[in-house]
Amino acid sequence: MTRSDTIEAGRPEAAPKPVGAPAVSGGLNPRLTRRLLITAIQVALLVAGLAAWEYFAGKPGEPHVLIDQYYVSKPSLIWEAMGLWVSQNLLWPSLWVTLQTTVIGFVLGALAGLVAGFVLGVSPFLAAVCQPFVDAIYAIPRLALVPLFMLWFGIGIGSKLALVISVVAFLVFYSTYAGVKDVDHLLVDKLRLMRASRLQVHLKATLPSAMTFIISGLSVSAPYALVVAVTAEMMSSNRGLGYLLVQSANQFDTAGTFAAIFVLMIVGIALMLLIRLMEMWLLRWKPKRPTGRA
Amino acid sequence: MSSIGTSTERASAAAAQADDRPIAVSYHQVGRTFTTAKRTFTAVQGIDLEIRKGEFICIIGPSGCGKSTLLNMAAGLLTQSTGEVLYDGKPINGINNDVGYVTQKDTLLPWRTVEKNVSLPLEVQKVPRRERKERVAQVLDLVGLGQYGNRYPSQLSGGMLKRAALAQTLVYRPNTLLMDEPFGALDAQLRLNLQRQTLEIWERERKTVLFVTHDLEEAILMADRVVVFGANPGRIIHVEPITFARPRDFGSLRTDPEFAAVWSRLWALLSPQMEDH
Ligand SMILES: Nc1ncnc2c1ncn2[C@@H]1O[C@H](COP(=O)(O)OP(=O)(O)OP(=O)(O)O)[C@@H](O)[C@H]1O
Ligand SMILES: [Mg+2]
Repeated sequence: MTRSDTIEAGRPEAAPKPVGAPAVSGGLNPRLTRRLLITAIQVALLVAGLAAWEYFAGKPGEPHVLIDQYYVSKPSLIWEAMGLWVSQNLLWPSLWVTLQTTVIGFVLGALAGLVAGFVLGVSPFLAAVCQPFVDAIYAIPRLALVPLFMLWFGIGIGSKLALVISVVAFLVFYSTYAGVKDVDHLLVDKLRLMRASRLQVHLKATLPSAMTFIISGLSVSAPYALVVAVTAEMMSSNRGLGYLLVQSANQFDTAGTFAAIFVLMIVGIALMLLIRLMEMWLLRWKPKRPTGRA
Repeated sequence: MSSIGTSTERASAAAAQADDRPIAVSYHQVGRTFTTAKRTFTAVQGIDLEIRKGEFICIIGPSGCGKSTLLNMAAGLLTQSTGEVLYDGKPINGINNDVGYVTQKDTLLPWRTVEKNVSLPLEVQKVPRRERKERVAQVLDLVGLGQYGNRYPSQLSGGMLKRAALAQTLVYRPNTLLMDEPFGALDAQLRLNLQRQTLEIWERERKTVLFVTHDLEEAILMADRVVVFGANPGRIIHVEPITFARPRDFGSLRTDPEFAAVWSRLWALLSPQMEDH
């Protein structure tokens, strides 16, 4: 009795309801409330940033101008520049060219790296033979190959694809190789005891087990594919977003430069989201990290 | 002393009786050493054991005495250093895929659901999908995992994982079953159920079973012969034929004075081995 009395007595003081707490009160799920709050703050920050940029950037000497728009442009001008590209039928074709180079190069490079990494991963002898050559080629700064690729594949998409492939293939190769090496031998033995053929062992144990590594190789190399495609376009091209970027810069068209960068950012984000979705689907068996941060 | 004498007599009697069955697995003077960075270490030595087709053998002994080593050899996952290991009269060369092996650290494929894991051996053997589904459902019910077919291994408890691994081996009906402490992590009730089920399956299909356990009672309840291991180095110190009639009723067996006699006889052999450790 006495004990329960103390507990009863202690309760009202011990847990005073925080009056101002935004969560729970509306009957909303606290997680959702938190998420909404975060989004709201993010949107507010973005709008504030853009507004400040628009307000303080401009021609020097004009009222409330702090930064010369020659260096940083301003949102309205960037928007105009994009509108101009659309009306000149420049934006979509350029975007299309860059996307093609990035995606085709990425897919071909990833396939090449995957196959090579897998084959060398399951045959130590071949791996031992090839290793110094692979490492040596990997050590070449890939941009140094641009002149050769131009010589071999011309100024068009071919030389850009070659460059993207040469970058992506190695990244995916190394991660696939590591993944295949990392396979749990208990699983391989288990499959073999079940009378699995070599091919079945690889398909049902080695490959899925390497998937975590392969995915991380893919998600690292996807942004690289875009970077390399754009770099190649900037170095030598007459098409693509990289070309558009360099053109604008050469004409001291800061708004155009920013517009190109902005489009590239959108493309980069889309690419990352795609990879993340693929990752979530392929690795759906992974134990979920405990959620609910403090 | 006298008790050991009687058990030897009984052993020869049982051996004479069972002589007509062909030998499934045999170990002749088998030894195995492991070389680590610092030293060479004898895990087992001088193992002589012949297991007849359809026999249920339980192996019991202190930790580290080479029980798993023995099973690994039968599965062809490990080679012996000395002596020979025969399966169906032939030396084992590479993986022996006539056996099903529930290993001690058995692992499921983490990216497959329980159902998919259990159906894996059937997929490998190209069993048609319909039959696969049926057999998987049946065996999952048997081990009490009927409700959990859609879960991934990371979402199961330790005991459930063990049972899933067991189901994965039972489902493809291998000729010989190697089971390394398959019921180790389970609670008493589940354990009893699975012991019963395992014996039922065995009585129906008469597979050869090599069953490692730490539980002397389990060994006596289930086995045709209990093989007692000693340590340092790992070796067989005694083989006890268990002659209780089958099918066995666990309840009445436990209270049988003969059961108690066998138990204490084997315990007398085992306990000093355990203490050494
Ligand atoms: N790959 C290995 N390398 C070195 N030593 C090993 C290896 N495998 C087993 N051993 C040693 O051989 C001995 C027998 O091992 P084993 O796994 O067969 O024991 P066990 O009887 O199954 O023990 P437990 O009951 O604990 O499972 C142990 O002392 C172990 O340390
Ligand atoms: Mg063991």
